[in-house]
Amino acid sequence: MTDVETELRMMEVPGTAESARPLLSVRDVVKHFDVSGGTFRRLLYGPRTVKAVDGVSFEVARGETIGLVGESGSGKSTTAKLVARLLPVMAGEVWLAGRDVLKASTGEMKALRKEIQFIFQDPFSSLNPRMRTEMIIGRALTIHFGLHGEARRERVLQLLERVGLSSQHLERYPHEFSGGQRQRIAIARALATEPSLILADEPVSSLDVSIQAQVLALLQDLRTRLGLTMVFITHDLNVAEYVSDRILVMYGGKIMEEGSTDVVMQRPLHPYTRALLDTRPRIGRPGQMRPLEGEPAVPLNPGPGCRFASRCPIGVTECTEQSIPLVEKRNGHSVACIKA
Amino acid sequence: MNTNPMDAVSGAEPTAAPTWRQETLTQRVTGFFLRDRRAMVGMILLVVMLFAAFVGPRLVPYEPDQPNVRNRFAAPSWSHWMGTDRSGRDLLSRVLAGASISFRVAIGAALLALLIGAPLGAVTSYIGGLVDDVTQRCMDAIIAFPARLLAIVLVVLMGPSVVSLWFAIAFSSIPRYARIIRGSVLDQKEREYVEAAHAIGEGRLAILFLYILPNVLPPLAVQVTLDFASAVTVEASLSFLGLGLVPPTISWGGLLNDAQQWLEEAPWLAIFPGAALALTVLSFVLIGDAIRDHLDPRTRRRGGMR
Amino acid sequence: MALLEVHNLTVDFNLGVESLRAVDDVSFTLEPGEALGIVGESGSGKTVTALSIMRLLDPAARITSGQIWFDGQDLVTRDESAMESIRGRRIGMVFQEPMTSLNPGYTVGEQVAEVYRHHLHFSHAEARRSTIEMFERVKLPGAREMFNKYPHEFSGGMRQRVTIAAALACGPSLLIADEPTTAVDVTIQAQILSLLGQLQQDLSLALLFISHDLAVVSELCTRAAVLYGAQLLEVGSTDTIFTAPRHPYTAGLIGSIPQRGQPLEGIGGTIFDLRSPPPGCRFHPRCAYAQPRCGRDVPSLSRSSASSPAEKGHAYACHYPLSAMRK
Repeated sequence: MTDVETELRMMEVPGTAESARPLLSVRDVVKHFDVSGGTFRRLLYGPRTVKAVDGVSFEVARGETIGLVGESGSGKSTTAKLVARLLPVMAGEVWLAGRDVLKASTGEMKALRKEIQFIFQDPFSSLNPRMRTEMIIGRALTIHFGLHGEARRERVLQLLERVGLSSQHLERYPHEFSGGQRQRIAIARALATEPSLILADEPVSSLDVSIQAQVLALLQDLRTRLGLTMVFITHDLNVAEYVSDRILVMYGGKIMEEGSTDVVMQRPLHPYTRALLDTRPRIGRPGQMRPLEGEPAVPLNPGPGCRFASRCPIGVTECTEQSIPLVEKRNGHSVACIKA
Repeated sequence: MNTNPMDAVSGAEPTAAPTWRQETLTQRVTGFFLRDRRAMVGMILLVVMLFAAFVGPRLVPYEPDQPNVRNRFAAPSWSHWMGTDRSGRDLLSRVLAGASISFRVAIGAALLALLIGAPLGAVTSYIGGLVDDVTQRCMDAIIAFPARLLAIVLVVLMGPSVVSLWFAIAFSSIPRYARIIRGSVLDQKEREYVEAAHAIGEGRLAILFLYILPNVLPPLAVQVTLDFASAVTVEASLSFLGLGLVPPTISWGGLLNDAQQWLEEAPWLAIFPGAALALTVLSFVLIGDAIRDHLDPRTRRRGGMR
Repeated sequence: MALLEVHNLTVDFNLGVESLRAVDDVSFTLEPGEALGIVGESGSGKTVTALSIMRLLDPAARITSGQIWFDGQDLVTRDESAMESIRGRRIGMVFQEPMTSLNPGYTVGEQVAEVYRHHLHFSHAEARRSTIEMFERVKLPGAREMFNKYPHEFSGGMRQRVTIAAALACGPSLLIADEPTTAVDVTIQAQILSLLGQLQQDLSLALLFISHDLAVVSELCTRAAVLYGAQLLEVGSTDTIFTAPRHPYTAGLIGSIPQRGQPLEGIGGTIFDLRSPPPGCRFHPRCAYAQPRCGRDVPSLSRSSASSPAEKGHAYACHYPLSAMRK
């Protein structure tokens, strides 16, 4: 059998063995926001729709971390919230270990919430200001394991120690912590349910540089020790490169490029990925930054073509006329560009 | 386990913000009154007024409605600190008696408005949709009437008594509570920690009671304090007009009404009840303002900066 | 002669019962046409330093000692009316969030034209012409049409271009930029940085660039000053500081930038509370190389002994500096 045949076979029957089946499978999820500004304006000026997430599909294997990279308006955070069912989806499917997340009933959803945990960007707003640490983490234990009192306290303490905090922090309120410590509490809360998947939405971007490094190192350590599966959303290519096994580059609600981190960072195929790499200032290497013209597109009433076409340095007219699918170029490296 | 200065995993941030003090609620409240001069002045005034209202009447030698025809219109003196009125009754005793009525009406009215308005606003805004819309329109209708006019109508309908004053005064402030709590609930509902609560699997009721309500109560404290102040003045103005509590019940509004005929001959009759009224209102407003500034992050100054 | 000389600047905040020192004995100089980056994390005092130069401090803050010499005059002793003629005219400033420095009720063109009319007494027509020229200079696409637009019609990047235009309208010799790219996307950040670099060269502008991002400072500035906990820890050319830092804090900041396949070094601990700074070197509780002496004696800023041109002006406040070996 040739390589091509093997590849085709793999594509037809994705992961026949149980172990090879991806933990998370996201298929063509769509989320549009109506921004017409009320019924009257919609009738008068026509509908204005932001296609925040427009047919996004990807898979995450057990133990893998994927980096979801993009600028504001790329739809990366919305995608994560759709997967966690924190926002209602318009179309598409999300499967977690053979269970349909989006069609789950309220009862089934409770079990699924235990499996999917979310870490938010801003630890100053994601913790209830009027709850003590013990309660913030403990609620998850009560809901999913029925733990109370001393048993719960003991488990909370274990979790706190796992993220580098201690018993002296149990009784404190969020405002008594620094940003880095708050994010550690948020991580402990996410670990409390023993989830099989963690969605982390820019978990370090609101932290100071030195604290950011601490929290990233903590996440990395937890990953290897607990074998966590993670979807890591970030705008920072350095961070994505550091944490992820695979990278997904999003722009205007669509995936532009997908592949293993080393390949995407070293041999990017999509002009947008290349532009992102070129616009990143590097320490000690001034003068190598090449800016990309134009503004990140908000996908408001977009045409059929490539969302990046208006800013693309190598774009041609066909780019705006036809829909451009994500095509696999070589083992696991896919790109949505007709020039690639 | 590790000589790396980073030491991120085991003992991170060992010098964890050492000066963040752990304070209990009582310490925080006392600390607040000690730090804010306005709050302290307001609190002292209020304690004095409350003492005067509830203990004072037992300490004065005269009964408030005991006439003494030989000592009419006596100016303030050692035997009558605030002088006497047209029937020779001791004004100090009467002001103290009025104070207890004023407080009873004000506290009752403000609490009644809170007990009706707050749950109404919390539940309807959390449910949302049509229930919320209809409630809001009803609240608009109440607000459209001038508060005092509405109170007058209600008192006239229900007859003069302390309980009818409670309802009359409370009725027009119900929408204020409903609105405040509605605004806070809608605001809190969108906060990320509520989304985070959904993410760990909290149910709707748990979210309302454990997450949202504790965060919307502080702004209500401000409103209750300011409402005491406004209830005191509404009661006084109703009684002044003869629509509230009528003699023999003594109220500051009634005392002021009596005083207006003798303003030139016996100005103390107006000055003392007026001052008592003004100081009571001032004490509530000072406390309410201080709490509001304390809760508002824009005016609260803390150590943080870039 | 240096354009800006900050000598022993000290700023205290009065917080009612307590007070804290937000800037503690900070000194640096800026030559005409030079770009100096001030690097620091939260609480380092970098923004307060910038606001002190503009004399735009919060009412609770006071410059307790030090001098700020700008163009032969000490700004610390100037009165408010003297400062008004310096601000915007001699020193321009750009803030992190452009929306806060633009008035939503006026068109962006009017707001920039007003700067010309107020400071330079231009007529309406002259002000309009100069504004459009300035819009072209900051590369606002379709400068003429942009004149009549309101701030809310602009994206974050374009608004930042407008505030840069307003800051540069009167041809200042110094531009202070306080985290101007923190609130914008990476591709827009690159545009703004290259614009600032271009303007700095074209107008031979001195630039005081405040940022938490070492890479950005490395890209744009020739010299950098590293602040930590209100004090200046290291200053020198970006080339030296970012390739061969002598202060462990600077090295820690560089090590905090994630790099694939390498362990993330970072810095342990958190910044101290400014109300109760630690004795001795302020960084010692978090420093991997701290010795007993570091907890007692405050290190003074000392010059590097190396004599190569790149090392000129390199100074650091550390008892046990890292070796000068380049990484």
